[in-house]
Amino acid sequence: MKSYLHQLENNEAILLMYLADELGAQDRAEFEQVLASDASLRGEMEILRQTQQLAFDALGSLDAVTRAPVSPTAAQKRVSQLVGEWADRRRRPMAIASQAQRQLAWRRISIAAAASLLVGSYIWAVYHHLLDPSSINQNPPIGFITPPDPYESDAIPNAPQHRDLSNEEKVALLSIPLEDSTSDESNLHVAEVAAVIPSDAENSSDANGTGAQGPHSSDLNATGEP
Amino acid sequence: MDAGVSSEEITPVSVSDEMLVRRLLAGDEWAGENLAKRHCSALLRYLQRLVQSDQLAEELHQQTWTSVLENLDRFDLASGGGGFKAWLYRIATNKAHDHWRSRGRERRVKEGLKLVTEELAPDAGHRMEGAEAEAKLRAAIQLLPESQKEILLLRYYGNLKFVEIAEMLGCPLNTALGRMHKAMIRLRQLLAEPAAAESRMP
Repeated sequence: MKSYLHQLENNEAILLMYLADELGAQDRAEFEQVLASDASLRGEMEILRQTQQLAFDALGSLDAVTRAPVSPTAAQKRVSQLVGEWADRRRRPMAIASQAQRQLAWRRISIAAAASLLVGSYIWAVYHHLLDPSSINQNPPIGFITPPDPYESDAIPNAPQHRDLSNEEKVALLSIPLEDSTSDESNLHVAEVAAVIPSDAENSSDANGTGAQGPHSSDLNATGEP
Repeated sequence: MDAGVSSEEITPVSVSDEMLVRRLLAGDEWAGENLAKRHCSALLRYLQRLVQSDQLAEELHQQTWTSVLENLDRFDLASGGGGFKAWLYRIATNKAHDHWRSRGRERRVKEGLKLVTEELAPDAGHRMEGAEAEAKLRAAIQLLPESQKEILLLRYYGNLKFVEIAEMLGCPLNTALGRMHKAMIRLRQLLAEPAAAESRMP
């Protein structure tokens, strides 16, 4: 225990501490030595003890004859109620927090599932579109920017309908002499090209059997060389 | 004691206030009820004597416990400053001081003993044969200076050590002991004079 004896300023302070049993063992022993040899100090202590007892008795007497503001039972009940309310308030934030966490987890799962579905659908749409030639230029997937087709009647009103030329038509077109290409060399070149392009009749026979590119490819290699 | 022990296994006497606080913080309401059982009556009486009003004492008592619970997390269980009881009485004393400050008055003594006599008179239900003695006692206590009365009441109702009281009130130990000594001497004088209180009435 901390020593107070030598910090106390007067006899009353020491005596009060002694009577209250607040002096440490060493202080107490030291003071009792002084007390044993000092009769007036003992008398002073006895007066102080009686005075203290009188004050405490007065308070006790007053408590005995006056009613408490509320009965002890009612006061305890009220405090118990306060404790219950306090405990509820302490529990509630934890319950709310756990509920909010659960809700947040479900919300995250839902958002993730929706996002996955969206991305999956988009990827499926893109690949489906690319792999299916019939769908080209019909319904391009969202996000694809396609320039307007100049041959689309919707895009350009009164535009001529596009069709592939037959090989004979291509040869005919090529055989038309250009204004500035009247030389023999030019005509020879046209003849060579016309020889390379197969006729429609040949194409139709090739479609049934040997393939269009067999002899012609080799011819091109053999004759196409300058 | 181990905080894991169930409430039924321990007796209230064997558990310190601080342990009850620890258990209460862990969610054991029984511990809170036990703290109330231990301190309610004395604290109510302390406030009753301090503020000299039953209604106000009850109000401050409730405010004190509310404040205790609200600040329980901040109570330093390891502190050696008198533990839970000293903390409880400190809060109660501060509540009384706050009330006086909010009313813009230092003490009812300055208003004379009118209030004392008013409080003595109305409740015929607990008027006793010793009503005169009661009035005298109340008047004597009422006449004590606030600083002296606080220490006397804290010592008697709170059974707090002088060291704890001094720490609670923020004054040196010698000052607290000096006030206690003066309070006792003054009380003895007032009680020795037959008409002490009456002679000081305005």
